[in-house]
Amino acid sequence: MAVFEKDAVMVWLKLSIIFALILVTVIFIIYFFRIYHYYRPKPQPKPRGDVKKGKVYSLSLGLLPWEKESTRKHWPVYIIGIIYHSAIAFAFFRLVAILFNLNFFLNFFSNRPVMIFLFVGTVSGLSLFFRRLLKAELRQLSYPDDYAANLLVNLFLLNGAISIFFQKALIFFLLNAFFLILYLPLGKIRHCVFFIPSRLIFGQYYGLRGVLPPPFKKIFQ
Amino acid sequence: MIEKNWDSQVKQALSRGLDFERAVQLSTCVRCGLCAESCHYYLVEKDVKAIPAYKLKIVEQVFNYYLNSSGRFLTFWFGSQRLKASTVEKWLDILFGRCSLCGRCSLNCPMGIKIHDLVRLGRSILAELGLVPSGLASTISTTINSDNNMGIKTEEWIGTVRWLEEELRRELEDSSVCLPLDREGAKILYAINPREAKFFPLSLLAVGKIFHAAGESWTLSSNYYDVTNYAYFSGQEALAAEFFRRLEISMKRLNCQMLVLTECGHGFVSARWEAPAWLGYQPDFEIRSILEIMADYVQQGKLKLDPSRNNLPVTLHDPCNLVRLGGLLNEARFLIRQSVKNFIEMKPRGIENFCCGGGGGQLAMTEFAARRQKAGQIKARQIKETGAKIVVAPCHNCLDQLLELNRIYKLGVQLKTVTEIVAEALVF
Repeated sequence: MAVFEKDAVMVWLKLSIIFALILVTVIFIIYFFRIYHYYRPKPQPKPRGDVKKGKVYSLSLGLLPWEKESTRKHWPVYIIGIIYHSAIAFAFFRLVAILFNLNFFLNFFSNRPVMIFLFVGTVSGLSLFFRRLLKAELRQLSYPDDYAANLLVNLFLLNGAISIFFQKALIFFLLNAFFLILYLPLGKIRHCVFFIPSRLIFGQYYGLRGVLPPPFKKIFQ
Repeated sequence: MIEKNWDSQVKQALSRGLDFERAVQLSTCVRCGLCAESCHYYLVEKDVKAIPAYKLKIVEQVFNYYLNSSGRFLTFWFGSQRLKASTVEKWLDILFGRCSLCGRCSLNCPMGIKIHDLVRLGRSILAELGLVPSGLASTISTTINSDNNMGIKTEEWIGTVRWLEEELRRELEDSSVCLPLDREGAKILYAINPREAKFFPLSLLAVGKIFHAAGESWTLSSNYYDVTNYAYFSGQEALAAEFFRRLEISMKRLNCQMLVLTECGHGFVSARWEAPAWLGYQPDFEIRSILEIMADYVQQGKLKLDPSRNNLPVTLHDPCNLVRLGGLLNEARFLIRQSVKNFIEMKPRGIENFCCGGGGGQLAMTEFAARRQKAGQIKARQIKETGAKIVVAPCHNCLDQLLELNRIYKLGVQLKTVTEIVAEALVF
């Protein structure tokens, strides 16, 4: 790392990434404010279920593959998706550790198992790319952004993996991260921000109505 | 269709229909396509246009174009589109013609997007442009011009109630039994589906029998008694609020404490769950389904049921609006188990049950009838697999669709409401 710390290009790159992160955060905040403009206080109907439990379920058990028919029927896609997103989280933590010289975390995210995991993540991402490309229906459902976002993230994972053992490749990882971060608010990758609010809305809706979480004990038998 | 500039109307409809939740959810779809097989239209047609994410996509494109500044750039790359004549035709075909608003996709969306709700938002934009399919528009217009969706005149309705009352007295051999009409101060106002009065009065007879057996204080109303709300299907929320307000007027006029709704899926969802948001306030009376009331009666021992009176194998169709979107997960099941000897569950059931295909205003939209009947294949197969001879469906729209499926797919089953099954098992 010391070699790179002295490198002015690397310093500038790191600063650019931090700037990009700040910029993107501001864009997301503005975006949220813009859509918050549509917020309307609504009188809530008398609940039949428990809103809090619905929200907790939506971000916990409700994410498990057997809870929904759509994921029950598509185990491989679900597992690939989980691996892919976990690998993205690892690569992102590695990036943060590099940006802020967090040596303890950097060591944690710079070893052979992490490298293998990031490679597996890349392969998972590619398999999702080809799934989208080869299935006619998914192709019709997709925009160029869907492919571009996937490839950008795959490259981020690949560079993350390579840079663990070839430090000279770190510059590509950081460059890749810079562009990826700038791309975040534009297209589908923004789901990284909207996923949790969206699941909470889901939990609120079904929780209020007593539909979810599914009752473990039947009320009437 | 002639090219028109609808920009201002679309913007107006979008800003009227959009709320924070919808805006968040319109920004979340990743087009993974996992929702495809949750839709009965897709399962039957295998057409990309039937994939829920595709339906969402076309609404999202317009949202991006009109309200999301990034959507104006690289429209082909990020997917945004201005609403124009060619798009409108596609919208009508997909949002009205390929969706029954059953919400099965919403439950299956890994991102938690309430797709059916956003389809309704899309429909509301079309409604703003005056483009509601004719059948649905005409049902709504009948409701506006009379006080119910079938245009039943008040005298006709009163006559039906009196005739049913005579029938009830004859059947129970009790001249004191009555079907109360406009009884002020009754605890319950019972709101019906006009279909019952017009074509299927047996369900009203059954409910009269049940209220009589439970010793309930209840009444029917001579006007503003229609539980249905077809404006819910067209996404016209101001109108939907107006239709609900009619029930509120009857409640006030008759000074009742509780509004009890007949077995009607969308009527229940509209009144119980959606009305407060439409009205801007919570009605000051309780709103319950007749299923909840009957389940209470049985649990309190007010109704005695003899299952041996219903010996044929019975299955239950869980209406989407009552169960998946309404939360009445167990009531119908509990009542049927108490009333029949041989109850067979469909697979899947409960909140995962498949839509019969009759929801979302589909029955009113004759232009999409062939597609609706085809989409009903899934339900027909489910029924066949149970081997049941009686299908119980606590929703009048579902019953109408199931009647057609029974004929088209030669199911050879009888169709009943839960109230009818319970009334048949009733021991006085």
